[in-house]
Amino acid sequence: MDGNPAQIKALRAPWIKQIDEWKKAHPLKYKQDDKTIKPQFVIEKLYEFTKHNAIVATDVGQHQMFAAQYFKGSKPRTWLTSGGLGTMGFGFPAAIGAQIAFPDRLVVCITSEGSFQMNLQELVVAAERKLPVKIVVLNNGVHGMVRQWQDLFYEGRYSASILGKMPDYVKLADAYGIVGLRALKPREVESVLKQGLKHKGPVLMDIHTDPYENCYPMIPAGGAHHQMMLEDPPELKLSKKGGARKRKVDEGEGVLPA
Amino acid sequence: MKMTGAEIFCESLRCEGVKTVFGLPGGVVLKIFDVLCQLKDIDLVLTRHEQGAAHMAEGYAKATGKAGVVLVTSGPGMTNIVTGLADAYMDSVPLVAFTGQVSTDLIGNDAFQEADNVGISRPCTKHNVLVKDVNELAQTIKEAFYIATSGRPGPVLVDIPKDVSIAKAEFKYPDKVNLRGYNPTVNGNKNQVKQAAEEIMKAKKPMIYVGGGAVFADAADDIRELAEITQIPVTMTLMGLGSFPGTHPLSLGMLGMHGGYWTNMAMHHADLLIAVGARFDDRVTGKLSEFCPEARVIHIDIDPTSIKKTFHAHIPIVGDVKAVLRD
Repeated sequence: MDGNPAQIKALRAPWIKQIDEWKKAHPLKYKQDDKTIKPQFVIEKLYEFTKHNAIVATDVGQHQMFAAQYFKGSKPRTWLTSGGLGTMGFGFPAAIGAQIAFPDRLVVCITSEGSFQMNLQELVVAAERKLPVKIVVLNNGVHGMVRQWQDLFYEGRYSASILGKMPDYVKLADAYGIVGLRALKPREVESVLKQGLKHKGPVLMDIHTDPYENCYPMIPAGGAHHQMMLEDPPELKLSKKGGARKRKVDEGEGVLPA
Repeated sequence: MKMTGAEIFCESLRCEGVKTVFGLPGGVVLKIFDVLCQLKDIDLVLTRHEQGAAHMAEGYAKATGKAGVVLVTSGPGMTNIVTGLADAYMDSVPLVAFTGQVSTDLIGNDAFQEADNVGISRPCTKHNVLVKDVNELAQTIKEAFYIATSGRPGPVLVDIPKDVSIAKAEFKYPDKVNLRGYNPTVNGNKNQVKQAAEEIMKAKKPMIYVGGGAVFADAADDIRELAEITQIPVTMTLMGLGSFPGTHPLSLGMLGMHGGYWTNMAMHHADLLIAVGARFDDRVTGKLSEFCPEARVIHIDIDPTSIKKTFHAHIPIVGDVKAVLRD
């Protein structure tokens, strides 16, 4: 293809400027306070600590979308995720497969307690082969994306989306003889991630995140590209946290003392 | 020298350069596992559930670009990998799954751990086949790897009855395949490519929209070159992430349901859309009738059935995205 580079730049400049203005008007955003860990915060930190060296495998749901938004991968074949079928339970075994292919590379599995429970029996494969997979469980005690849709479109009735805090992932890691770490507060996130990433063997990091954080922007099903929701609608914000008739996550089945 | 089906199976894997097999044993595949465990150069990863094996093979395939290999038993062994097959089929992951089957004389008898593996997997595999004669085993395996990794990649299932794994045949691994009716187009039509180039030079608000096809085609460098030379912003689908650096000034990140505001606004106002190895999935497009309302569309894809499947294309180009972008 030929064409004068300066000419092309001039032709595209207004377009690139316009996109930049859109970006400045509504960048990705979240608010991290000192009480509850935001999933986006964990992913941003994970990205900061691993940069472009990691192969990242994700599961399916909110954590996957946050990872897609905040983990700016730079190389092909370093982002392993289930797209079309949206298979919860994909991420952890996929991470093992990648780690077996590349024993010396950093492989991180970003998952959630909902997805992880669908194939956690494979912990034994990581343990017996001492595969240094770093598992980051964004544990919010709910099927996050289902809960988000229920808050937005089903008046906050949490039908079958509350999972509670069972099992205890640090004890589970211990049962397989691998290292388990836990972060309950925002200030603990960095040290847990750093410690986990530094460890030479498999690590299970149980990071308790905000069950009510929603993933935006969002095009509601059937909407067009210019009809995005950028934040919680007013009625959702007003109803304190979560839906109007929400059941507290801690009241779910199988609650462990914090 | 004659070899058993199990030995032919293992030698064929060797010829394909397979280093790792993910699987779990069972009655009808015991003969194959028995031979496999005696090999030093193929690592057998024993998973604790067949679904784990399928996804591990997917992770292996996505990270390496080579076919992931699964070996499981009949019945529940096979049904447990269905999710993995369906996942690989949706996301075009090269996978070769070997399933055990009851002996040929028992097929259809509701024998112990019998399932119609070919029937069950038909809608979620690119190709599947029941091997009825040990003399056809090597050829079938060769074709399975070729089909899984060529064109638009995908999962292939090879069903091996127990008696076939025990029966003997001469082994000769074929060096090429010749499949009538399967010949993926690699090079794009020159005229179409020329037309596309003209559109690209004219457009004021163009977008490059990259899907997983670009990852499989190893087209990352070519996309970068195209974007930088033409100064066109790049957005990626969930599957396309990584095919263009997320930190590049021209990267707009992911588009679609949870894409950036700026990204989706750009899509909505674009006057030219260059779709590269993407399939206009509903999570990407949202409401189709209002998707990219102002854009002319160039669609490059190796799979002709992906073009105009959900969305119109003014300039369709069937071919390997790397080869087409090079033109």
